[in-house]
Amino acid sequence: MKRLLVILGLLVLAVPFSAGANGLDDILVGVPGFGHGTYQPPPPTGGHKVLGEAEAARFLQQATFGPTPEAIAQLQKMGYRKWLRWQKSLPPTYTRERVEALVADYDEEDPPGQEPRVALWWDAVLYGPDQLRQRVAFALSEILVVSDRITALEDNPVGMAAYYDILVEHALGNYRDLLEAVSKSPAMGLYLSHLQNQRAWPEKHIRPDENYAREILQLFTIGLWQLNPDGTRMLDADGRPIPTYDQDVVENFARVFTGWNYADADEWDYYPENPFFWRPMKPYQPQEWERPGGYHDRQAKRLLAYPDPDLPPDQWERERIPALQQGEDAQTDLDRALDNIFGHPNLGPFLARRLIQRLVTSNPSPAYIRRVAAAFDDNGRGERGDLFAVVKAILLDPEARQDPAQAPPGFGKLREPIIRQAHLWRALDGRPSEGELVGDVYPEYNHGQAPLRAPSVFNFFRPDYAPPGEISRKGLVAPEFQILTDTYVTRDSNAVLYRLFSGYPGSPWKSDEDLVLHRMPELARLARKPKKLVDWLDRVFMARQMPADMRTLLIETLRKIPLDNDGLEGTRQKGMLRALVATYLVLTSPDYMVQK
Amino acid sequence: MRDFHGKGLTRRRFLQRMLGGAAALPAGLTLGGLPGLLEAAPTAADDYRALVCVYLHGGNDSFNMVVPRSGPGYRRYAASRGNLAVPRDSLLPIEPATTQADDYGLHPALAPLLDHFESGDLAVVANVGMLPRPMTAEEARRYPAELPPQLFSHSDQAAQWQTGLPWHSNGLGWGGRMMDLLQPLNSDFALPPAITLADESLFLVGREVIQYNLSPWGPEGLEVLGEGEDDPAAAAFLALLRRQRRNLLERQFVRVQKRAVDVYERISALLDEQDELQTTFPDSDLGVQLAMVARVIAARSRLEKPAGRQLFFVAGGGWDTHDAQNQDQPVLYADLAASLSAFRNAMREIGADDAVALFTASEFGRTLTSNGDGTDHGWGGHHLVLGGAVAGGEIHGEMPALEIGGPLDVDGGRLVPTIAQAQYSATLAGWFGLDDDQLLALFPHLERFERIDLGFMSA
Repeated sequence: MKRLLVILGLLVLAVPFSAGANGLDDILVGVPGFGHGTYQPPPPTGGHKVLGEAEAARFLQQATFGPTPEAIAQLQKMGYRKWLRWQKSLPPTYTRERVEALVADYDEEDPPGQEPRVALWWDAVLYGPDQLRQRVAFALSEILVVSDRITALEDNPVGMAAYYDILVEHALGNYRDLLEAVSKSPAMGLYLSHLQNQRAWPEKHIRPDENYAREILQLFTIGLWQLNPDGTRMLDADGRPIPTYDQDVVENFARVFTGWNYADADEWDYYPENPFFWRPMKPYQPQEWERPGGYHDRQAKRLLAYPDPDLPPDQWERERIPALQQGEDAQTDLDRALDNIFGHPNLGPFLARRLIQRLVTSNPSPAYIRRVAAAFDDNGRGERGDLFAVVKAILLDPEARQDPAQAPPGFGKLREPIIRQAHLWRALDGRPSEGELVGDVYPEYNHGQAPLRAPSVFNFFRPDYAPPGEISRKGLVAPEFQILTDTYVTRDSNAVLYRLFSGYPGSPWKSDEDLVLHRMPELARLARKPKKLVDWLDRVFMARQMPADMRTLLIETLRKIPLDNDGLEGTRQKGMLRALVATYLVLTSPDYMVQK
Repeated sequence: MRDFHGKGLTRRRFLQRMLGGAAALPAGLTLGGLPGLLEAAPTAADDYRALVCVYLHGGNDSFNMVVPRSGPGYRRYAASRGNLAVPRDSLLPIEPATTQADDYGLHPALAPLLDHFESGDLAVVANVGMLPRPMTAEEARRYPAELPPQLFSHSDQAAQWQTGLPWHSNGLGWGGRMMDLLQPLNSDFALPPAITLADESLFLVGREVIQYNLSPWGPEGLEVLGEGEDDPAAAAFLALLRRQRRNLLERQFVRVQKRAVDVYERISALLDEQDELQTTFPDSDLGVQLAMVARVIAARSRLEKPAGRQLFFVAGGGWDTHDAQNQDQPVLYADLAASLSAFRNAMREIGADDAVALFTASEFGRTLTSNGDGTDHGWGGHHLVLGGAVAGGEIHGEMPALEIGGPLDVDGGRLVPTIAQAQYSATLAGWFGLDDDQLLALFPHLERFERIDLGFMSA
C-alpha cells in the first residue's frame, strides 16, 4: 500500500510546507549533494569538426534523460567520442546513502514507503551530470527487473535504492560483474525468491525454488531460443527454433542458487532487525544444531550447453560443475554458474537487442544487432561483456546515426513516459523550491511507469510486444505501446499541461510538489516572434525533426494567442501563454512522441 | 489510501478556471471509431452480461462474516476466536436451502444483505482459496513444496487471486485473459470491455484486451479539448493528429490517441445523457466505485447495439485487520453490505437483474486465532456472490469446522481451502460464456478437481 503523509508526503505532496514546523531542515541536514548533482566541469574541448546541433540533440535523446540547450552546445564542442569518455569518467550519482539519510528517523508505526527513493531517483536523473550512466542504468532496470510492488520490499526504500545503485555502478562496467552483484542483492533475492533458498530435503518435501534460476536465464541473459550472432533464431536441420535449455537445466541452476541468506543472518529463518536491509547476501554458515550438511546443494550440477555446429542440438554437451569435496561452496558454484551463463553466445545478441530498444529503436536490423553483439563479445581489447563498449557501439552505429529522414518507416521508438517527463523538466530548467525534492513520487498514476515499480518481472512492457494492427502485421514490435492505454495517453497529456501551467514562475496553480520551470520566461520572450519560439522547441525537444507543415501550423496557432496572455494569472511577462501552449503542443504531438 | 483523486479534482478545478469552461468534449467532435469495432461479426453476443469483481485488499477475515450459531458450533468458534468472536445473540440468522453441519448467521453489520440472501440473490461460497490441487491439512503440512508460493504474502496472493494461477505470476489476469477469449462476443459492443475503477488491475490484464481506467467521478478526457474545437490549442492538437505520416510508430500513436478521445466521448456522452439512478449509494470508496459501475451498465442500454460482455474491477482497502479488528470490522462490513446492497438494488431498478453478477475476491482468509486484537494472514475464506443469476439463499460448499487443531487447520488456525479459487472463478467464467476447454486453458490445474462448475450460477 502506498502511504501518503509520511516523511516526504508531509513535505512534498499536497500539504503546504511551513519552514521548521515539521522538520524538513532536520531531515535534509547531512544529505549529500541534495537538490543538485555533484558538478564536474567538462574537460576542455579539442580541435575537431563541430557537430551540428540537430545531430547533437538527437544523440542526447538516445543517450541521456533529454537534451538541454547547454548539453547540446557542450556535445557540439566535444564531439561524440570525447563526450562518451567524459561521461564514463564522471563519478556515478548514487542514491542509497541519501535515501538512508532521509529515512533515518522514521516512525516505526508509519514506514516511509518508497517516496524518498523515487524523489531521489528524479534528483539523480534530472540533475546528475552522469547522464549516460543514468540512462543506461534505467534501461538495465527494465531488463534485470526488481519491483517494489511486493510486500517484502514496499517498505524498504533503502534496499531498493541499493539495487538501483548496483545498476548505476555497473551500467558502464562489465555485465559479468553486474550479474554477480544482482544475484547477491537481497532485493533480487526476495523478488525472485532465492534468498533463503535451500537444497532439497525430501523428508520435508522441500525442493529448491526455481524462480531466479528461470528468470536469470529467460529474461536477464540468454532467452528461450538459441540465437545467431545477429539476434535471429538459430534453426535446426528441420527448420525449427532450438530451445536454449529445458526444465532439467532450470532445476540444476535452482540448486546452484541455494544457501544464500541475509549478510547478518544468525539462523536460517532469519529476518533482519533493520527493515532497511540492503547489504549483499552471503553464503550462510549453518549452526551446529541446524541442518546437517548445510543449506547449499553440493552435488554436481549440469548447466548450459553451448551450440556445437558439428552436432545436432540434442547432443550438445552441457557443462558439468563437479561436486565439491569440502568447504563452503555456494560462492564457488555461483561463480561457475554465472561464468557458464556469461559465456553463452546468446548473451551478446540478446542484450544488444534489448539495449538498442531502450536507447535507439524498437526494430534494429540484424546487422545492427550483430555489430553491437560483436562489441559485447570483444571490446577491442579482448574483454567480453564491457557495457561501455556496447553502449558506444549502440550510439555510434550507422543505424543510430543515419539521417532520420532516410530511415525505414519502422525506425525509432515510442519515448518512454517518464523519460519524456524528465526531458520536459531538464529542458525547461525545472527545479523544486529551495529545500524540497521532486514531488512526483507516484509517476505511475499519470504515466503507467515508475522506476523499479513494474507490475511483474516481465517489466512494464515486453521487448516483443507488437500492438495488434499495422505494426504486428508487418512483423515489427513496439514495446512501449503496451503501456500506452486509453487511460495513460490521456492522463499523460493532461499531466504535461498541468506541469506547464503550474510551472511558470508566479503560477498560482503551483503546489509544493510542483517544479518551477525557470526557462519559461526566456521562452515567453521568444514568443513575441512565434517562429523563434518554435525554432527553440524544435531544436531542444525534436532535434530539428519538426516537419514543415507542423511548424507552419504551430506558428499560425501562436499568432492567434494574444501576447498579453489573455488573463493568465501570476505573470506579467508577455508571451507566456503562447510559450506554454506551444510547448504543450510539441510535447504531445505524435511527431515528438516517437524518438527517431 | 492514495490522494490522487483529490489531486485530480484540484487539477480539474484549475483547468476549468483556466479554460473557463467544463472539461467535456463537445458533441460532434468525433474522430471516428476504430475499423472493426463497429462491424458486426457472426459470433457477436445477443445479450448483455456484466461481471463485477469486488476486491477486498488485505485479506477479509470472513470467519466473522458468516458465523456458526448452534450451541456446539458457536462454542467451538468462540473458543477459537477468543476476544474476536462476534456475540452469538447479535448474529443475523440465515437459512440456506441445503443443510450445513451447523446453523449460521451473518455478522450484524451485514444487515443490508440479509434481504438479498432471503430473496435468493446472495450466495455464500465456503472456504475458498488458492489451491493447486485438492489437499488435506495433513498434506499441506507434509508437502510444503506443493503449496502456492508465498502463501501468506499479500502481494503474491493478491497476484495469484488475480492471475488465477497458484504459482508465480505470468503478468496476465484471469479476467483479462477471459475477455481476450470472449472478444468475438464483443464485436458489436462499443464500450470498453474491461473497466477498472481502482487504478491498474492485474486482474484485467489480457494479451489483447486493454483495460480502461474509469474514475468513480467520471471519465477523464483530454483537458486541451475542453474548450472545443475552436480553441486554437485544441484545433492545433487535433490538426496534428490528422497529418499524413510515414513513420509506423507515429501512426500507431495517432490511432491510440484517437481511440482514447473516441472512447471518452462515447462514455461521457452516454453518462451525461443518462437519468440519475434512484438508488443511492454510500459515499464510501466502494460505494462511489459501484455507483459508477451501475451508471455504465445502465447507460449501455442506450447503445444502438447493447449486447456484449463487460467486466469491472472495483477495490476497497483496510481489510488487513491485524489490529483493532473489533473496532474496524463492523465498519468495513457495514460499508460492504450497504454498497453491495445498493448495487443490487440499482440493477433491479434498471432491469438488469439477471444480466449482472458481482463477486468478492481477497488474497486470503485470516487466522482463526486472535493475536490480541486482530488476526493474521490465513488461507481459505468465504466469499459472496450477488445477482439475479446467482443460486442464492444458499451456502455453496462445505462450511469448515472453526477449530484450532481441527481437521482443516494447517497450522495456527490457518484453514486449508476446500474450494479452489479456480473452481470459484471458473463457475463465474462459465456463466460469462467460456466453455470447458477455455476454462481449462485459463486454469490448467482445474483438471485436478472433481468439479469445474460449483453450480452457484444459473445457466
